Amino acid sequence: MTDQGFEILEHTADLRIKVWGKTKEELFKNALRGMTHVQKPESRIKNHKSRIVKTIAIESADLTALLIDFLSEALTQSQINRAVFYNVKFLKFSDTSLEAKIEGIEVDEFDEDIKAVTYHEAEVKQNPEGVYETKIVFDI
Amino acid sequence: MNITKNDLKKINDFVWEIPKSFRADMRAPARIFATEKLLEEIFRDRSMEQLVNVATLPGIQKHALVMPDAHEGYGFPIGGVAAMDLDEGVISPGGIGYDINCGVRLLRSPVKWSDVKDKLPELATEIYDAVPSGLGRGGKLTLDKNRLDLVLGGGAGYMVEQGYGQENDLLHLEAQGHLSEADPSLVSNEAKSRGRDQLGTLGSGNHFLEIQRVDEIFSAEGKSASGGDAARAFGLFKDQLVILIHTGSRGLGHQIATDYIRLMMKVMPGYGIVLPDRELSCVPFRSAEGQKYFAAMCAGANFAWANRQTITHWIRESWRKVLGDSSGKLEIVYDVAHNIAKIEQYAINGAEKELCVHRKGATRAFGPKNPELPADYQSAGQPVLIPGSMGTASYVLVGTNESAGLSFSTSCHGAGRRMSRHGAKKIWRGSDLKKQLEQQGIIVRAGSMSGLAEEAPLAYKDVEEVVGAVHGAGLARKVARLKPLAVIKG
Repeated sequence: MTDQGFEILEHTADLRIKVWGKTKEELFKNALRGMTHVQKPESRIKNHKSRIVKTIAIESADLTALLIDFLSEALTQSQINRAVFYNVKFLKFSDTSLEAKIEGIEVDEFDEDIKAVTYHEAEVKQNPEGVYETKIVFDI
Repeated sequence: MNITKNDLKKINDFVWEIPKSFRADMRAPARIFATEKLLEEIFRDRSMEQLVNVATLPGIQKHALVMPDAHEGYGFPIGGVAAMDLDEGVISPGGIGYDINCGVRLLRSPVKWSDVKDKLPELATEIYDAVPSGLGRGGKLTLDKNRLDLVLGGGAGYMVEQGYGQENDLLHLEAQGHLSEADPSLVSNEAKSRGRDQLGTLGSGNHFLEIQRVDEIFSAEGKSASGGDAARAFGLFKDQLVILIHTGSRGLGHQIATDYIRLMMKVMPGYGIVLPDRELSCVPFRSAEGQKYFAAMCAGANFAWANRQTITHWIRESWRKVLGDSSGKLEIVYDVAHNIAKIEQYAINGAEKELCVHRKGATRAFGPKNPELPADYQSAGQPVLIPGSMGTASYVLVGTNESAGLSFSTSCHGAGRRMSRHGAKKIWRGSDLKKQLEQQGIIVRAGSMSGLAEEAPLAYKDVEEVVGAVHGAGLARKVARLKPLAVIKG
């Protein structure tokens, strides 16, 4: 199995994923890709429509909240613009704030309608190998 | 700390208690309404731990509760109920959920289903075409900011004024389809952008429309009967054709919840509130942030009532188009919210007190003589609408006066999931399910086959067992069982 940086776990009604990354930035990027994979896997985009880039700026209480708020903001942009975001370039990044360009593609519809990104069970930690990881529960 | 059945105290066959002593941070005991069989299912996921977390919220009154259809959520368990003191308690957006005023509306026709049997496939297709559904798709109406604000402020009543219904529709909606505390200016531009083209859309997931028949009527004693007082009051009779609508406030509501949970995360430490799960984030009800969220949540609830009103209008148009005027009109039996917080009055230690009742996947169930009920339901009580899983039975129940003391006048909201959507998709194929439903004579109009697989009936608890527990506990009693004739979803 290739290391795609995320894995889908079980949850009774919603969606729980595990994400990881060697750096904090990589963790954030993999989390975005995990969320997007659920909305619409890259392989399922048949008619590539217009590319879309949005700049977002976020401030949060700590790194975990920053990750969830980052995904929430990407989801909001995804829903408003009917687009999926596959890539992110960080312009600024600290434990409590970031500025980034998220890059995506407009789609006709999603495979899965994610309603929200929750803080439930989210806690960014470094494992013994130094890899950053957390679980994230999405409301679907 | 893992919770097991040994930690529970049995109150009776339908009520179990987790004592306050179970965990040091609990501010109240927790109660579970369930049969022994349902309890086993509830223990398979993290619902119990989440219920104990709810019992730690400041200002919680009497008990933290879950209904028999409980399952794991995030923050609150689904099926969770918590009533908070207005002065010392909190309001928690996670106790309402992202889909603010997700709810159910039941329409009744004056005809027996067998009289229009031949027209049902055409009616199902017509309704499927008339009511936009599916994933992230926009609807037929696009609202500018001014009109959207009028919807957020006015709820179902605004849609009736605009020609999307008749005046007496409003009498048969919870809160008459409008919460006057709503303040559209407290709903963010992002939320409004998400809702702009979503009025009159069903959405996806577990949201659906069903054309159903009244399969059985129950007497006041819960026995099968040719008619019952409550069924008569609600205008229900055996073999009648009825239509059920299950949807909520769509992306607009999701964004209101997202915005305010984020805000509360930031300001909560300033109020000295410490919680075991961030998703429970909350602020004092009387605080500036608490009042703002409440007013925004009410606006989201109004949007959901306007949404179900718009869908009702289009279903009525489809009905007329397919069946003409000879088949009579569709009237509203009732409309209930199952993700909401309401200010209601209950007796606490012998004194009547206003509380903020959070219901997340739970339905209000007022008994007879409640002043909020319309004149024609005063003697029967409030209709409680319980959608079953796709293709299985749904129920109409009626609220009791005992439920005020037992559960802050609350009943269950559905069958309750027992298997993940992901798991369901691994086991069942949508196209096979469609065939199975069609073999049972059920018409299926669905946009997505994988969406159909996620809602496989076996991914849910047995609705009969859930309704039996609610009836047995005295939270509400059975009035009618409904069976599907056609399933319509995104």
